[in-house]
Amino acid sequence: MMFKRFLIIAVAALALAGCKGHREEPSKAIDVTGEWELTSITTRGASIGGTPIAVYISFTAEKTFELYQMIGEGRYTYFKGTYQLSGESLSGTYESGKPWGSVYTVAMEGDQMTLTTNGGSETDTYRKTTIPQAVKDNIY
Amino acid sequence: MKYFKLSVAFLASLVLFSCNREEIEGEVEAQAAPIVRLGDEIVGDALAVKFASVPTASEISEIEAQKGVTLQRVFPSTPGKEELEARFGLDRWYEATIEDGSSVEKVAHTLSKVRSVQLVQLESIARKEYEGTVYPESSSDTRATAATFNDPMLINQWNYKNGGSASISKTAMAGADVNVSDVWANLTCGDPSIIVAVVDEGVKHSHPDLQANMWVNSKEVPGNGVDDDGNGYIDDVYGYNFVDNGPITWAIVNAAGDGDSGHGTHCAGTIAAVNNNGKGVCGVAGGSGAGDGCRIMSCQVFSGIRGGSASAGSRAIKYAADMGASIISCSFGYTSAYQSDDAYIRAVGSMEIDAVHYFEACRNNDVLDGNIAIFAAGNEAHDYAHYPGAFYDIISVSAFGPDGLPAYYTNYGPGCNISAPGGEAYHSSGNFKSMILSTLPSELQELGESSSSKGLDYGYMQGTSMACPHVSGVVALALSYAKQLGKKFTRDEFKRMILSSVNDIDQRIGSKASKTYAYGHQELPLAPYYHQMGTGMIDAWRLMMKIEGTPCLTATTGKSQYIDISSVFGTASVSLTYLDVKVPQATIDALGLQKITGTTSGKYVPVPEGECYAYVQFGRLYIHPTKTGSGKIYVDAVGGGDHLGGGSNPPGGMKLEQVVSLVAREVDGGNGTGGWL
Repeated sequence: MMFKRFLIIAVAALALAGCKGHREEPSKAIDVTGEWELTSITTRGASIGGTPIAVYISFTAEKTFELYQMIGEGRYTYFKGTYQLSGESLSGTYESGKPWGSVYTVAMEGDQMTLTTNGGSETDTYRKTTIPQAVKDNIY
Repeated sequence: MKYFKLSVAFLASLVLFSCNREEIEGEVEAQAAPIVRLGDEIVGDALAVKFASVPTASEISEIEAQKGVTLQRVFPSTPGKEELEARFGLDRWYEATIEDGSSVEKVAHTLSKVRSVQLVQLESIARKEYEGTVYPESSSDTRATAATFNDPMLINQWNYKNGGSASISKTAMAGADVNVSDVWANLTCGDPSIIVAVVDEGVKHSHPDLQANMWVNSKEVPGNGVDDDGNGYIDDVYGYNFVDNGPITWAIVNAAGDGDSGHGTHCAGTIAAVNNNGKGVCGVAGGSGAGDGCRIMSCQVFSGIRGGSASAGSRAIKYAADMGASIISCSFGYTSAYQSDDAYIRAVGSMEIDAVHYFEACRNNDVLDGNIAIFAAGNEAHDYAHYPGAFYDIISVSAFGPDGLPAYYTNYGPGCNISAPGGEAYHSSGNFKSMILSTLPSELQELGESSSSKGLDYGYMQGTSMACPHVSGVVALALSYAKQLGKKFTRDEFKRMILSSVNDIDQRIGSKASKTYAYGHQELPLAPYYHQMGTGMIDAWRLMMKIEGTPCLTATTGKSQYIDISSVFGTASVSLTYLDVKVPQATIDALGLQKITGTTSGKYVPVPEGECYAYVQFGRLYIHPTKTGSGKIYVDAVGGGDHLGGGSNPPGGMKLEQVVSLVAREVDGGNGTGGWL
């Protein structure tokens, strides 16, 4: 009985706290501008295996992006284009006119950004960084 | 893994059974046999039982007398196949016909308590996996085309070569096809020793565009009412009618207009309508017009408004195995809102799965150590495939439209292994060309919405029923090509090759939130289909390259690109010395390769002097295809040094001659040409 009463009070307190927090901290608009480095990949589909992958992305306030990627060994491949952010939905188009492979759902936490593919089968995590000059110089 | 919701009905039957056990405690000592069903609809007056061992005649008589049924062996035995029949338990399946009017459920429970019975199966009724409407094609378009063959309607068969024409669909995408035209032009068109059994409605074997590619049982004298070859089936010249136990039929329609639809004849045409005969349509493995098409065997399991029972389908599949088919094309399945998991079916078994496994264990060609079964995934837009195709080791086919996206009706998700063109109406009002065009029986009175369709030999249908025969045809072509090259594979190896010979479908699905259909009035959300359409869109060229052992790279149409060839020359490809890149004219034409002149600047390496269509530097192949297609490029490099050996000092390297195959598609190829996002 004692435990039940405690439980009710605890739940009520949590509910109140939840309401209070919600009032005081309205959700902020997501801002993806800056330079990012891929840190992890979570995929439900085919495994990337042991292939080394390095990806750096720069999103600008002017809604353009630059992408440096090295899949396997060798030099970086460079892409650029434009992006659109609508709420949590991030989409984009390469300079060639081809759309990205997916529309992504963006989540931010501190200096981390996660992009989850349409359908939720893959989540990529990025950390805020400064793209090394060596990367920019080592492109095809 | 293929999984489904466990049957509420089945659980209920288990509960019912456990209640009954107490009542019959004194009568039964052994554990009751499981009762299995694979679909919603079941046969009302018969069911199947599998005995634990081959029953004696006295056992059969005793059960018949006590349980009010007549028992008859489902699968006739074939001389020389007894051991294989026993391995898959085909000698222990009996069909129990209910004689006393009892309900099938009651008889099932009664038989499940017979000590010698291992399994009772309620006989599900299969449904043809098509949308149900047929639209005739009356034109005999003779517009000039650059196509390989002279069949006048080939121009409307986007499923073989989709150029993205707006006349097919406003949203058509070039390359959303089975990529077969370059195979026809350069590699193979079929082989008459490869037989595909169409397990379906009867195939109109006298159809002008099918007759020359029909399998013929030469040991059977047509129409003499005698089983000349002693296989248990009378007058089975082009196959057999397992519904009526008689001659094949294809145009039985009742007064209400219900009955045959031409479904079997349509599927047969997709597999092997006669090519290059100046008539009608083409079939994937229909030959070159020189009598070299793969052959069609008609295993009829639907007749008018009847058919589709599990026993008829199972007998038909065994017949196909025993009479020489290498592929069964099964555009049917069990509609089901429930059932089951693969592990359960593996544990208890089912008549159809036993029959399919028997078929796949038979060897009917010089290439494989077995045969291949292909099923349609189903048309209810369910997020799983229908059984039997859903079973884990059976290939099940989902459908895409001319836009290279999932068709609105297709099943997807667990159990769906690969995708193929199934057609999709309603892209634009009054235009059925976005569906699949193939052969039809001209006798049918009612064809779709047209009152003037009688007498037409061709028409449009849509469904995973139409996707399934595309894969069957591509597999038939592949067996033909492997035979031509003298290659041999195991059946399982070949299945892996089929499922990995695909073009990407997820890039397009993932890039769009939804697609429009129903004349632009409906939006189909695409997120549920992402990574759920099997391994991708089947590609005939890629499968042929796998058979050859030629590495296949993907290029993107409409842009200059460097393609990483380290998968061909190894990781040292960046530093190898390349001597020559030969591009045959057929490849230039097929891919519309743009001529490279001058020197590019900026980040890219300079182009070699002079003109060329492709070159290699730093382990990257540079090309610019302007259209979807397939072809080969020959690259010579030096292995071990910067010049060839065999001359004056210093020693040189060995010449590496590699054939590289290219498939150009509108989506990014994934060979370093596509961005990460």
